[in-house]
Amino acid sequence: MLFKKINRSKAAIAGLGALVMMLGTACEALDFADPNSPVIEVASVQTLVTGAEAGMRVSLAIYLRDVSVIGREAYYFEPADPRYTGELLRGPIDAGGFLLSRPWDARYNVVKNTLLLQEKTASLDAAGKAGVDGFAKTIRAYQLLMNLNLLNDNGLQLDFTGSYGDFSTKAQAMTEITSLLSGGATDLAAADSSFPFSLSSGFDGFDTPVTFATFNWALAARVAVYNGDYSGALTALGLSFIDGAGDFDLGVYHAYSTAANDQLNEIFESITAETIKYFGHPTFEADADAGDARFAAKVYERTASVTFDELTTDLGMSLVSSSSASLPIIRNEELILLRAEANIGLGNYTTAQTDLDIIRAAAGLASVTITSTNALDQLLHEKRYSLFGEGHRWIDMRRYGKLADLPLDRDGDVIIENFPIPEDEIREN
Amino acid sequence: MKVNRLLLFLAMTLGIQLLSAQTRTLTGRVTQDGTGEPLPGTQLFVKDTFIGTTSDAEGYYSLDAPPEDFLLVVAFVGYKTAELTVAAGVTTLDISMISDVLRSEEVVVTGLASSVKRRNLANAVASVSAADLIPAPAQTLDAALSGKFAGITVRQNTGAPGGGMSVNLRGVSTIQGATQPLYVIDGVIINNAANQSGIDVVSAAAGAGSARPQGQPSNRIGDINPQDIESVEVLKGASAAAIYGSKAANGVIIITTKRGKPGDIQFRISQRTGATSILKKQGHRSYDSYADAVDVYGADLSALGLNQAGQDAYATFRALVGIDSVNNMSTEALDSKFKSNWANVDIDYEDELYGETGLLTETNISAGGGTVRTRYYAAATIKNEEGIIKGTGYSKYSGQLNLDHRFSDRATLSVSTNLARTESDRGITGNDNTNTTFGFSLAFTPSFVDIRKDADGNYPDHPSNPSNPLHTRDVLINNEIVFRSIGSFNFKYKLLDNADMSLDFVATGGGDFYNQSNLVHSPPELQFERNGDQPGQSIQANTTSINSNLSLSLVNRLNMGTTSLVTSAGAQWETADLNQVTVVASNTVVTQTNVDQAANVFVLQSIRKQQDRGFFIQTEATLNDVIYLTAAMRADRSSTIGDTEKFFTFPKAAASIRLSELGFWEPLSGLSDEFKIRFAYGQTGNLPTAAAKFTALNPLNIGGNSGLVTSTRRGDEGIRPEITTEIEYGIDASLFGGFGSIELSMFNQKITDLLLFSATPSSSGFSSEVINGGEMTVKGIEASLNLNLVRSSAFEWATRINFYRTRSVVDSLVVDPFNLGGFATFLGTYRIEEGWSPTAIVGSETETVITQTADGPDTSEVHIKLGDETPDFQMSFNNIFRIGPFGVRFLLDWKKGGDIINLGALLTDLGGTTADYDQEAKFLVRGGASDGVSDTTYTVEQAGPGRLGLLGTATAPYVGDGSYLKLRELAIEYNVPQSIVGGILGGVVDYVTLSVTGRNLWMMTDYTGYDPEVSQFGNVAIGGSVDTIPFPSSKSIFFDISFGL
Repeated sequence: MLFKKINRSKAAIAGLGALVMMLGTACEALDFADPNSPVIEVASVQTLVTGAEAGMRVSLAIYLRDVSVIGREAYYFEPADPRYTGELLRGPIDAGGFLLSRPWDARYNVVKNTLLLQEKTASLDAAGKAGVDGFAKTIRAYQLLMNLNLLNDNGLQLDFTGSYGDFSTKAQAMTEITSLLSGGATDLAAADSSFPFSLSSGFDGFDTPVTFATFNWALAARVAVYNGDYSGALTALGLSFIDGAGDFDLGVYHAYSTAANDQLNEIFESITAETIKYFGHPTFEADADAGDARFAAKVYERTASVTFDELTTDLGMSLVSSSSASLPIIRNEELILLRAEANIGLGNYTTAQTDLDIIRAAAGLASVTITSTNALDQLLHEKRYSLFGEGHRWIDMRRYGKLADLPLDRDGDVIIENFPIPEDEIREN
Repeated sequence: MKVNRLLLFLAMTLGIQLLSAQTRTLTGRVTQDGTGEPLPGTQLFVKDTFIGTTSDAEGYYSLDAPPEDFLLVVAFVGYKTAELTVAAGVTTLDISMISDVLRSEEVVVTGLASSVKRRNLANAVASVSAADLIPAPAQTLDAALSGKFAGITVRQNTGAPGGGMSVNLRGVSTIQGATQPLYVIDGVIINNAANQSGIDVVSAAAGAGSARPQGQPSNRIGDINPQDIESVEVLKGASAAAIYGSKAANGVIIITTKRGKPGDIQFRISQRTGATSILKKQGHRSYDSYADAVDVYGADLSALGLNQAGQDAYATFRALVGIDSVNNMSTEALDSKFKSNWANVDIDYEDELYGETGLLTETNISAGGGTVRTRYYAAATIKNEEGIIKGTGYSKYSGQLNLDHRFSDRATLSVSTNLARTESDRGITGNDNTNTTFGFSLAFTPSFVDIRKDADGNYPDHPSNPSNPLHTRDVLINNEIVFRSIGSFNFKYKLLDNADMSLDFVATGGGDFYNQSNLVHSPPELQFERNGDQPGQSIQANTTSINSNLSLSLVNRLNMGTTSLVTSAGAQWETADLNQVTVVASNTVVTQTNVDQAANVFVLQSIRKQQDRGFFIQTEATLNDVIYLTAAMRADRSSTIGDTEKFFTFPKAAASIRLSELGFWEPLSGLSDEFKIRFAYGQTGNLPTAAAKFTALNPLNIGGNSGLVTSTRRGDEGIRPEITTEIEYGIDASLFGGFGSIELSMFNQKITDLLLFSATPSSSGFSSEVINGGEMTVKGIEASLNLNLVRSSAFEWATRINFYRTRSVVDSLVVDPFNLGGFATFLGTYRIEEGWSPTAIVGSETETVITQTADGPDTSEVHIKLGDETPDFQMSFNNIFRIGPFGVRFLLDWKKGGDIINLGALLTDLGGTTADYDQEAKFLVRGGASDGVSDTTYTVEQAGPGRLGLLGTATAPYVGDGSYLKLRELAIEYNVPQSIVGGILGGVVDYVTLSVTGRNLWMMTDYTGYDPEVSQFGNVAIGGSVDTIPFPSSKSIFFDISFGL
């Protein structure tokens, strides 16, 4: 047609222009990085170690309240949430509720970090890698143990891929935790004299592979006692930082501070505060030996007793002195008690007596002679007062089938034995 | 090809353009056919020349016309464009314009660089012009759109000054994707983010930087000045919006600002003064004496009269919504506190708090004019509006400058610039975990306690609530200031131009920049701050947003006799960057808002970076002006998609046929002289958020070391856009000549690859992941009826009725059914389940369903639907009357059905202050009984305790019907007759109009909250209709004088 002839060249230029414009949109790269957070590829060993250490504290306060309230060591009077005095004391535990899901999720989040951490060792030599592996396995074992403490007979998920695998039994989980700890110890033995990363003040004195290994063995001793492997426990204790003559508070801690993006210790409540939420269980006072220094150190009497949800107490908590005070992961006093417990398990009452005497003497109390009949109860009594609020009472009593010995405060109250498998771990269809 | 005819036409055109310099003056008057009313502002020009003029206020015109015969084109919006042959020698010509009920001459944008006349349009594209947009002033643009169109739902999330609105086109079409339409102003894609202000931190309703902010933030479309808008065009569905590709799943709103018209400078000045007050009060429970109060509350005032069930419910509610406890005071202490605060009168705290009459002022000045070569439009607006709560308010200063220049016959450039400053003081309302918001505090303020400022100027501590809302109102600051600048250009160059063919190069682009500063200051002297661990909070958020886009296209027009073919192709570049820094300081120094004068500080930063690239090609064919066919394809890639290299393509095809132009229609032309059927198909996308493809590592520090932990949400590296495919069909018909018209559309949307946050087992380290999965269908019908009921010179009455309904259903899900939105199941939540409406509301009520399987009967507990946010239908009635110099128009907006989770009623029940607390009531509770399905009707002596007592068993008493009928707009205007105006200042004044206008003056609803338009969670697709006592809605009335020079 006419117009086509006239304008062929211009039309060609225009057509070419259009093509260029379209192609222009295709060339430019648009796959830039997330502007708000680093990608896993750039995360360093150090940041993942620090993240794991920091992440261990997430929802720890909820875990401690859970086990302390069920273990009848404490009450948590939360006017904004009746579940602390309802669900935990009356059951059943809600499989979708925060009392379970918050600590459960947080522990597995740390597990994920430890797995990522082990993938980041390509640039390290064998000894450096062994140090990272030893740290990662030890921390992972500890986090899994915390969740197993909650679910107990309901087992644990050891498949970390999110593919809704079958739950492992408690025994399988304990085996896995034990093997992680021993594998970690082997790795730590093969590591350099120092870690290729640094740790917070919570690990002061335990921040080299050699000293960290004594923390690993301390955890292994706790796990061995849980397993009833008393001779194994004694072996582990021998390799741990146990020191019968040493400071009871020697150990490894969760550190807190007011620094930016750090966490505050949520257990802390000021003694002078008009209202507090975390209280000691009244039986902690009733059952205390007269003059037990541990009682005076860990609780105090409020000016007035408080009644909430038909529960009454006047014991405030003085376990934690400030919002930046540390919380123990494991410390010397527990190790001495674990040694006593292992010896009682093996029938070595005289050896156990020595350790229990150390504990009682430090609390300003006279020795109690133990025999095969009273040894276990005496041990549990000492553990209760020495490790008050540190999350052991419920687990210790459960291990010896003594949950029925815990006090019930109200009609309808029960002692929870296991937390259920969390709702989100089971696929509906 | 009829080449000869084309050449002839060409010669004629050229002939006209080569006219001699000699002229004659053509004068006359343009009036409306039928009524004889003058039509000011009509454009008249000599066809195919720059010679033109505009009629004056009385419809008179004067044109320097060529001496020979010529074609005069007369055009005015809303009237059929006339082409008249003016013979040589004629010097006067009166013109009568025929009203165009279907607005068939209106040019509608159909592509990024092309447009079509409405009579050929194959989609239901809604549009509104300036006069219809704001007959009554609206604070924000989205407010002005309420009730204007079929298929567009505007929901006010909160009544707080500065807006916070959700605009939904054609129903719920996503579950967790973006919900708001794309706004394009003069070619610039603008940012409509709702940025968290920081008030959430004080109310603790959500953490700073929360992905699910509450506090009902304003959204930034509110900065656009409705006064500057010439027209708004709405591409409602995928079939119309496909050319906008991957961002258009929620529709596109195309805004065109006002531009100058050739002629002498015309000034338009208007001054408004008005008042605003609360639209509706909730009312409260009242008492005659303290004894009476003790009698009904019980001696134990600490429990505020709640029975055990109520107390348990309250505790659980507080756990979830998270209200901190009132001090653990003894009963005696509390009782004495109440006594000492005893007011001796029944205090209406709604009146104390929300009872202000706010002063509203607005000044608008515009000037426009120019030559056919260069046109200009400049406007300024100053608006100051006080709120119904003391200390709240809104102000806007806006300036617009638009220039159009025609360099030559080939090149034209249009430039638009806007500068605006808006400021709002929004108070503290909505959901709350600290009992500090006004609504929560009043819920726990019985009318017999006196918390008013005492004679010494001090505020008493509130005896039954952690904060004294009157004190909070007077000293708490929640201020937002936005500076915004939008600039755009449109450059057209005719590469080729002759009668057969033209080829245009079009470049359109621009930028949208704003800086939003939020200051929230909660001073340490406030009751709840004093009693807190870290008294005094100062939160400062600074958000910077820059959007820019450029599109280059070529438009080819071919005229082949009666057939024309328009083909356009081009490319588009878009960027969006947003950077928000929030500083939260607590334990502040008295009187200081500086964040560095505080004991604790933490800082958050959130960056959004998005880059999109696309190209498109579109062909439109018009055959004989009868059949219109179009096909288009857009291809997009985006940085938010997993595969950034991949182009996603979005096709479109549409056809329309004007049956009335065909021979067989002749017998029906009396019934309808314009009748069109249309059919359209198209696809659009909904992009995932910029963060969806990333698995983030979050900072978590210990002991001064910075650490990283994996986020609990796993990103999807292969994330794709959600795809909406729409089929739309309908008819447009005029009725009985100019008497009326009807537009009817049906649509069916299929949404695939739904963007979902799916729960994952936490043992993987993640608790949720972003996925594409599931399908949804949305069906709807839209109808608009226009009737010119009476048309005479003395009286005119025109009415426009819109009707629409939409139905969404989830067809399939790849995840387990899940609850979404709200706070907890027993407090009402939305349920996403196959076969259900995605906006279905459920609660505690379940029923046992037994299904027979191969393994025997299987029983399961299923949720019972308690309601649905989606209304049965919506209608609006717009009426325009004109009686001589008086004009009256009003817009009624009716929503039938649509349920709301009314947690405001729960709060007032818990506080024992609900207006109907003591009234007898009946509740139907469905299911629930453990022995199977049984509906039970409970009759209770007191509604309040009755509702609370059922909480946990039944949520239905707190699910309210959100039906309403609102008088959206009312305008009564008086056009001062020309005989008077002509005498003012020696005839300088063109026109003077006096008017009284009102917005939301009246509402009829059974809903017990402040307003059935509410959304605690802002612009979410699912879970919006949750009422936790927002800023109450207001009505406003204005007195307006406007005149032209």
